[in-house]
Amino acid sequence: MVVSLGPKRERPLLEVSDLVFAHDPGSGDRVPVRRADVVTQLNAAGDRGAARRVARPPVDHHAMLEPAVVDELLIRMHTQLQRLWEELRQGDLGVSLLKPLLATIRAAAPSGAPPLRVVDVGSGLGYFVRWATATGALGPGVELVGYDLNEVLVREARRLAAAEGLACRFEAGDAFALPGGADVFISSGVLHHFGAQQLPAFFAGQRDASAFLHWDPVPTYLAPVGAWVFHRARMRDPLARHDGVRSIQRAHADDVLLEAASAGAPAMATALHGLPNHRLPILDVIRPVIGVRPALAQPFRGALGPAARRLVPGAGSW
Amino acid sequence: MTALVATSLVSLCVLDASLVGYRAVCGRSAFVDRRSLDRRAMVVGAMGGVGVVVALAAWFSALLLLLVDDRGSTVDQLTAAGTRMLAVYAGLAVLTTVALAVFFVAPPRWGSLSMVTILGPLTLLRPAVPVAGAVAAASRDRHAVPATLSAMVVLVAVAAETVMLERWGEQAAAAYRPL
Repeated sequence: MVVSLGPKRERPLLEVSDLVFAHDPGSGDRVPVRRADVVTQLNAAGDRGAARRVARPPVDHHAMLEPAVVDELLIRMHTQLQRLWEELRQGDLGVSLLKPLLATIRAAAPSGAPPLRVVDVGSGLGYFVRWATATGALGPGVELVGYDLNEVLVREARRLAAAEGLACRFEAGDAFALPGGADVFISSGVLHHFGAQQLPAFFAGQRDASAFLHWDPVPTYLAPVGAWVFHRARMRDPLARHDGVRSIQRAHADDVLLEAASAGAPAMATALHGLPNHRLPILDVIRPVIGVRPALAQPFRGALGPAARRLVPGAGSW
Repeated sequence: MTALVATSLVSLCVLDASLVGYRAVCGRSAFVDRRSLDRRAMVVGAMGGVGVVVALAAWFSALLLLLVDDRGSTVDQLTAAGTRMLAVYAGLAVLTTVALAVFFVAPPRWGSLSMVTILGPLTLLRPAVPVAGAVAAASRDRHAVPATLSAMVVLVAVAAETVMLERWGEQAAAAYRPL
């Protein structure tokens, strides 16, 4: 059984990083963002504090936000966000599920199959991809690729990887239409950026993969307070704090994620991995929604060992 | 007793400064391998802590030289103030040490829990801790002015150290490149 703990909202909860960067859906090219439009949206959402802060950065002679300033802000915010992922041990937590999953997929594949392709969707600065490459935590025979809509973050992820000599790739791409496919799609902190209505389309884009694992914050009753404290303590930039707290407030409830995953990828067996009903809310700050091909579900469960106790099944036979 | 209190406070001061140095570079560089930056930050922080200790030693020496006629009672007052200050810091130090041990040694989920429930909130509380220590050390006794004054000097020294280390951390992280 899963429970819905998502907040009931009168007004939209907006993240500044979603508003200050825009692209043309057709060409994928970046388009200028009018500062006044961002301020208006935030004010309309009742977020006057964020609106005041966004009103400060400089604009060009067309009243558009200066791209260089926005880029610097986004990189700074994502660098601070990476610290949070590090402190939440997202690398280790991700590998604890991804490694048995890859072993399960490999065991089911014919011998001589090519390396397994793991694609991190909305990879930002590519922390997980770079960390997994640097540590070799996923073992050999894995190709790691990070995709992000934001070309600025992709360029920075490439720069960081090159400086550390890491053999991983980063590409600009839309989470709803990623080229090239993958054996496993993963993400960290991406799902809450989409509305509940958009989620089935997100999962539908991954229905041909062997599996997906998408981590996102758990919207428990303690989460907003905890998020405020933690982001206040850990994020240096006020807008990074703002977006961090909003991301928790926007997080989808368990049942929303499972229903969206089943609707978008109906052939997949789906589950969550966390304490059932989040009995101890502080123990589940983030948890993944999992989708695997039905034939892989029970072998994957077996490969998880004791951690399989924390599987909360959705659709399919586990 | 005086030596024990002084040694304990000096140790905590240097240890805390080392962690302030570490925190000063946190979240400023997105490289995966930041070990050399982190190590350098902790060493620079510890050196900052030693600087605070040296400055405070100069302060206490000057105080005792000026109050030559009343040196014995001044030392007693300072020892009592230091003990009260230590009582505030010791609890935090023990909690931080245990939480750090859990973060680095325990399985990832418990490490994450330690960060979310203890280390994160303690960082938020940290600016208030030197203030609480100074308030605890300050005395209402009108004859204990040197102790109260010293508590304020300690507070200013720790605050100055934190500000300087934050500035250093910003520059060091910006200049950092992995080996």
